[in-house]
Amino acid sequence: MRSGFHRVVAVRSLIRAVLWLGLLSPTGCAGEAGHAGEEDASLLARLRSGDVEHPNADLSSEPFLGPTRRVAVQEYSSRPTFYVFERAPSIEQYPCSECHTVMLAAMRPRRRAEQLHAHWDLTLVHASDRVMRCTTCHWQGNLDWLTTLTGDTVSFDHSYQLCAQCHSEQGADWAGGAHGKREGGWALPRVIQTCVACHDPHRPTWDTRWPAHAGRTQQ
Amino acid sequence: METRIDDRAGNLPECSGGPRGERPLTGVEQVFDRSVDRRSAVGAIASGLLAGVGLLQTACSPFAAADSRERARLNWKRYFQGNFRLMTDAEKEETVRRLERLHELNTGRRINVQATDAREGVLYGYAFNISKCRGYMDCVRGCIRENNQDRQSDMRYIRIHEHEKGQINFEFAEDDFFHEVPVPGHFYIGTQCFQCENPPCVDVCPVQATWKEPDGIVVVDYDWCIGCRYCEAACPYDARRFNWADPVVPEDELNRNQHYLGNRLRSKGVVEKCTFCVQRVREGRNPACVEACPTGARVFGNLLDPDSDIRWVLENKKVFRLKEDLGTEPKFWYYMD
Repeated sequence: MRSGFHRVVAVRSLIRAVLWLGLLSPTGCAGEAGHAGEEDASLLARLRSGDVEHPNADLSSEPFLGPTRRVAVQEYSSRPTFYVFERAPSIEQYPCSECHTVMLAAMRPRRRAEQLHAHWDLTLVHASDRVMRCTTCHWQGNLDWLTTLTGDTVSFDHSYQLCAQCHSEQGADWAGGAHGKREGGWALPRVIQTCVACHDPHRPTWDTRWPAHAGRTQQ
Repeated sequence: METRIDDRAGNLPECSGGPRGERPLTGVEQVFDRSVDRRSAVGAIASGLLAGVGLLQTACSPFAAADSRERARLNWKRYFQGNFRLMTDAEKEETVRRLERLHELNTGRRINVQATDAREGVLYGYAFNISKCRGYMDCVRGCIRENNQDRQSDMRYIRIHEHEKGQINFEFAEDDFFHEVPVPGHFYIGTQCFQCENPPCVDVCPVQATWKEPDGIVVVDYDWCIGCRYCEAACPYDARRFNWADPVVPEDELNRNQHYLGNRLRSKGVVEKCTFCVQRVREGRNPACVEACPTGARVFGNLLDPDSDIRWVLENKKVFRLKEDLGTEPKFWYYMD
């Protein structure tokens, strides 16, 4: 049985939603007092006047999120805390320090014939070689960590911080919700994919492909 | 058991007056229980008899098998069920159970039909990033499978329009392409039902078979729709689809988690359209198109939540809607990077 308080809150939310429905229509002018020309109120003003206290409606994205552990993202002050999935467990050869026990400079081949023993399938096609090289992102002191342009270390879980250094617009859009892919459902908790889920940091360009659906006339 | 005579917005049905005003009228009463002139009465009775005789015969024959008697009985009840909006919760429950049972009788397999109500404090909104769409049509495929659309007519709620750069003019865009994408010098815009706040399709329906739910989704009662297609004509965005033939969905591709107002199986002669996957969003999931899109071009959420992604897009990106001047107030915005 719902307590009296919850019933009041629920009714209040419902009334607010109904009032807001009247507000959103340009010809409806029920609702908040004191505004002249209610019909001309901007869309955002009308939306804001309809904000509800419990916008997740007892729903949650938890059932749709799976067992992967999450990391909180709190650097964006304009947004409430949201989450990304842990990255390190999905990197096949992590931790890198198992092989890279010496500094990168010391591992350089002495002879031109001696090529890479691993990572031979990686080519860096990301900005020009005047802008980026491997050590732009990978910290030479310990290859289990990434590094910013100014030398601060960053864990692989927070690799988005690196991308946002140059791609700050996309980074802000990503934190806001206009860029990138949401995991789970539309309700809280908000879990989104990191940059590298879609963009290979070594070769970010996407190739062309065929559509997923062919019309009846084309099958 | 609570009985209600009004729909959720407080509107009374037109024929609810009179001595039986205490409970909602069934379909039979709504059609037959009113005064008519002699000519109309004779016509109505004759056509009713012709329609009913076939049903009655199979229902009452002692020689039909128990299954087909039950099927006939359920079909009879389904034929005379009332408008979904006027039903009590118990009647809605009975209606969806009947659909489940009929499917089991007809195919031997089970489905799950829900009649979940709109959630309180929720108004769904949608945003589409036209810088991100690359014409992949993963959304189209996901939608067709999720919503049990007819495969034979290639029914699609979502259309992806390939525009040549230089203008946004849907007259010149191609929406039935099949080639490698994206094509250089072109960009892609997707359309579907925009769940207008001021929907012209709802205003024109002569039988009130389509309406806007409290959470903003415009829905159709497929068993009440008479197939006049007036809504299809009224929609400025060409969102509505009509079933010219019985829809065919392969049994192994059938989505068994259905909603009465959403992706349950339709029949020949009714109109359908995108419902923002009402069967999914009322459980907290994203619509199938949002989940399928690999580029993240589609954003979905609760417009009444100031912290939602959709609100952030509206407040921070340069958004626009199609045919803004018509005053339909679609809840589907477009933006660019």
